[in-house]
Amino acid sequence: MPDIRIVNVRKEFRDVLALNDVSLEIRDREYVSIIGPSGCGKSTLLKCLAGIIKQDSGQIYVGDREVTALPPEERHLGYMFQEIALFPHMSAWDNVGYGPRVRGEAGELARQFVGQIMEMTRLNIASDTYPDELSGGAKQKTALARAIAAEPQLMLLDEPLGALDAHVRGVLRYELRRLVKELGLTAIHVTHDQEEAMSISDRLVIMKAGQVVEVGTPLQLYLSPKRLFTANFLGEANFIEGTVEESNQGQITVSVKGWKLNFAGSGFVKGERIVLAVRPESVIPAPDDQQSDREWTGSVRDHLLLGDCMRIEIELENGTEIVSQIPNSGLQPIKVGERARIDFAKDGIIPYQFPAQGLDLELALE
Amino acid sequence: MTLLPSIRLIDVSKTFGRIKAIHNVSLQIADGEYVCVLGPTGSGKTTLLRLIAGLTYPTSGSIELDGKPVTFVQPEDRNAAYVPQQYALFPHMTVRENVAFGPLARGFTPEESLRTADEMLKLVRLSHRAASFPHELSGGMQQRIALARGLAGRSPLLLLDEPLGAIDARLRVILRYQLRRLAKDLGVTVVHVTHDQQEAMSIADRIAVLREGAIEQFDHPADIYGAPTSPFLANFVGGANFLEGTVVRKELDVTLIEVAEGFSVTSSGNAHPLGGAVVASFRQERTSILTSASLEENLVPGKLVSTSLLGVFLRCVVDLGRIGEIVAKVPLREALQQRLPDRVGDVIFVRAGREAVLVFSRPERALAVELEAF
Repeated sequence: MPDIRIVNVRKEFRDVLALNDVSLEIRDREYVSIIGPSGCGKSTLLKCLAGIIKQDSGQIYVGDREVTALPPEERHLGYMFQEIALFPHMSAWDNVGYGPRVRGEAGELARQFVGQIMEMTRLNIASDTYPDELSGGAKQKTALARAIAAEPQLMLLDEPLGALDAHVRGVLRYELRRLVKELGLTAIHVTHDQEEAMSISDRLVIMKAGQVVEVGTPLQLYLSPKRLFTANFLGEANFIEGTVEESNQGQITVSVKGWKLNFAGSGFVKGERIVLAVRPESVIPAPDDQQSDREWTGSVRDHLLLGDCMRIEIELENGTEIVSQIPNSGLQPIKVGERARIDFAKDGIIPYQFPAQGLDLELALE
Repeated sequence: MTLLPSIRLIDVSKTFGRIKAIHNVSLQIADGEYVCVLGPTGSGKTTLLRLIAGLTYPTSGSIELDGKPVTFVQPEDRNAAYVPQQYALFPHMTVRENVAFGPLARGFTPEESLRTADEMLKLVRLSHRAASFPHELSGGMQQRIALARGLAGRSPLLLLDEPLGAIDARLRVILRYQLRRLAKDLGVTVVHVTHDQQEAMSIADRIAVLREGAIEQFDHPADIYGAPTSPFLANFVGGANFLEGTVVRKELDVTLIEVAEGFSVTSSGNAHPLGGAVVASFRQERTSILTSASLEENLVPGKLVSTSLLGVFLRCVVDLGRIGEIVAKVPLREALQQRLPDRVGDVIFVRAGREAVLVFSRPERALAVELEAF
C-alpha cells in the first residue's frame, strides 16, 4: 500500500465550512487516528477519502494514483462505521464470506480464507450464530471481519466502536490494532475518544473547526503539545494564567495571582501574559502539616478514588482551583477540608503565550 | 442529612413475558447520596431506574420513597425527576423555554422558572445557546438541555439514564465532575445509570453493579475496586489480569497457586482449600515492570509485546510464555524513565506483590464467559 496524500481538500455544506483546505500525509501501514470534537470535520474528511462525499476542491492521492474523481468501489478500501450493518438472515460465517462469494470465489480455498479471518478475529465459536444473537462486541467484530474479507489495503474506520459499551470498547480497540498490524494494512480511524486514539495509534491528527490543529505521535502530543487546544483535548489539564516576571538562562518565573512559579523554559519576555498547562498527574499533593505560610497551599475540596488513580481537587489560597490525579499508591489520601500543599513535577509545566482569541475560545470543545 | 433512606427497594422483581429483567433486588439509597447503577447492556439498569420512576411497576416486591410506599404510585406523584436516555425536547420551544418548562410544570412562576433555567443552562455550559432551537444543536448539547430541564424542576430525587451518553468523550469527563459537584451543591439524591465504569467510579458515592438483573455488588467505589466479590466484577470495574490455577500450598497467611507447570503465584490470605480450583487476579496498575532481575517473589521474566499510551499510565502487554499474556499499567513518567516504549521486543520482568493478588474460586462458567470476553 503506497502512501496517502490529501492535498488542500475543501468541503462546504450550505453555510458550514466542514473542511478548510486540509492537507495530510499518511504512510504505508500506519495506524492513524483523526480526533476532534463533534463538528470538527473528521468524519467528512474520512468520507471524502472513501469517495462517499465529493469535496469542493483539492486532491487525494493513493501513491502516484490520483483517486479524487474515482467512485468508492474503485478505491480498494474497507469502510466500517458505528452503525452495525450485518445481513440479519445470514450467520456470522456467511456475513464474513459475503465479499469472497460476490467475487465469485468458492470451494475449499474460499472456505479456508473465511476460516482464517474468523480465527484471526476470534469469531470461530460464533460462526453459526445469527446477528441478533450476537453481543454488540461480537457483531462489530463480524462487521470488521467482513470488511477485512474484501481484502482492502486501506481500512477507513468511522467511530467503529462507538455503539459499544465502554468496557467492550476498551477491549476491542486493542484487537482492532492487532488485526490491522497483522494484516499489514493502513488504517485511518475517526473517533471522539482521545484515550482510544492515543492507545492504539501510531500517529494522531487533531482537528478543530475544519482544520488540522496538530499531527504527531501520541507521546509527542500528550507530553509536549504545541497548541493549547491539544493540551486540553488530549487528556485533562489545569490551565493557570499568569504574567512572566523573569525569563533568562532557561528559567522562567511566572507570577500567578501574586504567587510565584519557577520552571525550565525559554522564549518568553518579561511582562508577557502566559498560560501554563499542567496535567493532573504533574500536580503532586502532600499534607500541609506544618501549616506553613508558603505559597501553593490550599484546602482539599473533593477527593475521589478512581481505582487506578486518586483524584484530588484543591482550592488554593490565591483562589486558583487545581486538580491532581496520581496513580493510586494505596496510601491514605488527604481528607476533604484538610490543608494540602502542591508541587509540580519536573517538566510538568507546559507554557503557552496567552491566546489572542482568549483562553475559553482557544480551549472550546464545541 | 437525615438518616431516612431516600429510596428503598424490597425484593423487587420484574418480568417481561418469560424474561426476568430484574431479579430480587433489594437496595437502600440514603438521602443526598449519588448512586450509579452500572452494568453491561441488557443487565436491567434502565428497567431498575424506570421502576423507581414509576414508569413500570414491579411484578413482585415493593418500593418506598422517603419512607412512603410508592410501589404503584404514578410517576408524577413521586417527587422525582426522570431524565430518559431518549430525551424528548419540545422542537418548537427555544432551549431556554425547554429548560424553564421543568420548573413551570412544578408550579413555579414564569419569572422564577426562567431564572432557574438560566442558572441551569450556565451549569451545563449552554448559556450561549439559550435562544437556539433543539434541532440546531448537536446530540450532546440536546442531552445537556434535557439534563438541565430535569435539574431545573428542583426535585429532591434525580433519576438519570446515561445522562452523558451522547456527549463526546472529552466533554463527558469534564461534565461528570460538574454533575457530581452540582448534585452535591443542590443536595439532591441521584440515581445515575451508566455502562461506563470510569464514569461510575469518578462520580458515585456508591455503585450498584448489575448483572443479568441481579445486584452483584453494592458498595463504595473504593471497596468495589479494592475488594470485588467475583472475577466478573474485578474485570468489569477497572480490569485486571486473571490466571487460572490450583492451590498447591497453604501457610499461616500465604497461599501458593500454581498457574502453569512449574510456576506459582503467592497471595496473602488463606481462604481457599488446598487443591482448590481458583483464579488469581491482580490489577494492571499494581503489576510493575522491572528492567533487571531481582529475587522478589512473584517475579517473572517476559517479553514486552507492546506499549500504548493511556495518559496517566503507559499500558504494557507482556508475554509470559506458558503463563500467557498479561497487562501492566505503569505510571507514564516512570515508564519513560525505564524507556519502555523503546524496549518492545526485549526481555523484562513483571511483578505483582502478594498483597495485590486476589484469589477467587473458579467460576462455574468458563472464565472467558465469566469475564464477558465475548
